[in-house]
Amino acid sequence: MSSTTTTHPTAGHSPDSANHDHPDDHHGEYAGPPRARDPDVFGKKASHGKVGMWLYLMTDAMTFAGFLLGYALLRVRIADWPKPSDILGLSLATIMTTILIISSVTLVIAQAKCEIKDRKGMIKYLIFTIIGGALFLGLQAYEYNHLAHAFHMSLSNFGGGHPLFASTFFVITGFHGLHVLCGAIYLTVILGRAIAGKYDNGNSQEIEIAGLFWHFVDLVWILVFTFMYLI
Amino acid sequence: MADLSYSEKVKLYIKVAVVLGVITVVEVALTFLPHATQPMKTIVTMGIVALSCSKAFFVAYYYMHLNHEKRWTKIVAGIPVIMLVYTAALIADMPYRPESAYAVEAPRALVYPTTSIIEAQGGAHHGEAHEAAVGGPEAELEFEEKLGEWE
Repeated sequence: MSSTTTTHPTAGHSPDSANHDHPDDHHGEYAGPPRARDPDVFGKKASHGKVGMWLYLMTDAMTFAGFLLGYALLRVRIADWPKPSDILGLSLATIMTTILIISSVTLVIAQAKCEIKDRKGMIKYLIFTIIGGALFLGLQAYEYNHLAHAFHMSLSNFGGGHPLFASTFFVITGFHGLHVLCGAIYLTVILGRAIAGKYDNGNSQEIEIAGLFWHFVDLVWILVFTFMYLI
Repeated sequence: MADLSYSEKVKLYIKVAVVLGVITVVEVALTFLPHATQPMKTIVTMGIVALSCSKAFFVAYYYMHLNHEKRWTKIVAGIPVIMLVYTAALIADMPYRPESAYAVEAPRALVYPTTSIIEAQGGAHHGEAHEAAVGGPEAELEFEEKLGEWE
């Protein structure tokens, strides 16, 4: 990516690039992904990567929606379903929600820092975001450990009511936790690229696409928190 | 995004985060309201669902930059909302279902070896009970006999 600035003169800020619909076609070589600062792309056309991420997120949202639907149906049909706030720690879950929301904020700030070419700020806020994800995972591990000891919760057992309460809880929050883990690894790769100077030209496309995934994980947690902890 | 300066963007992001935090606090406070009676229960549940959906919308609209996307991207992003509406409708329907009509008994082998029963029996036979529960139909019969003895 660092070489694109020199090898592809049409990408970026050249004055005539706005006059071509597809500036890359005239050169017979692939000019790399569209750039955020390109007037043809920015605010008008979504890049391929962004479209791909949105389509993936749509299918992922369907998966989560299916899980939550299954949870709702089981819960309606089972009489001795415990009240979630009696079993699950509401305050801990609220802290986890807050951490994810704050990590979303730090990530959009990192993207904004990238766009004003503030390299140090971008790296700092990317690190904050990854720390937020790691904190969330740590708290979730603590929560699982506590529930396993206090209520003998496992995928198939539960000491305080119907065992499907424990099964659905671990399946849905575990699936979400894996998303957080993947997101943290994804952002670590992005951080590595940021440190290597790939985004020093102010092109925040890759951070934005990784951000789409990260904010989606945040969004899903907001709903999981509501349906599994609060209600 | 292009039309906002850096400081304007950060201000907007922090404003949205504060709104999300306030809504979260309101949601958690709502769960502590006494709402055992029927109309109140439904209202509180619906309120919490509506609040969290608004939170999800804020995240998608401001942090995922849907406010700067073209209409078709917004439509793609909006497709899963159909499922969320369906889920919300089912949950809203919950209080109106007669519990007895839909009651499903828990599978015994899964429920009985848990601690609530075993501790009631003085904490003994933990290992035995567990083996009985996972040891197939014969072991299950044995387990039921033992339960009879305890009772």
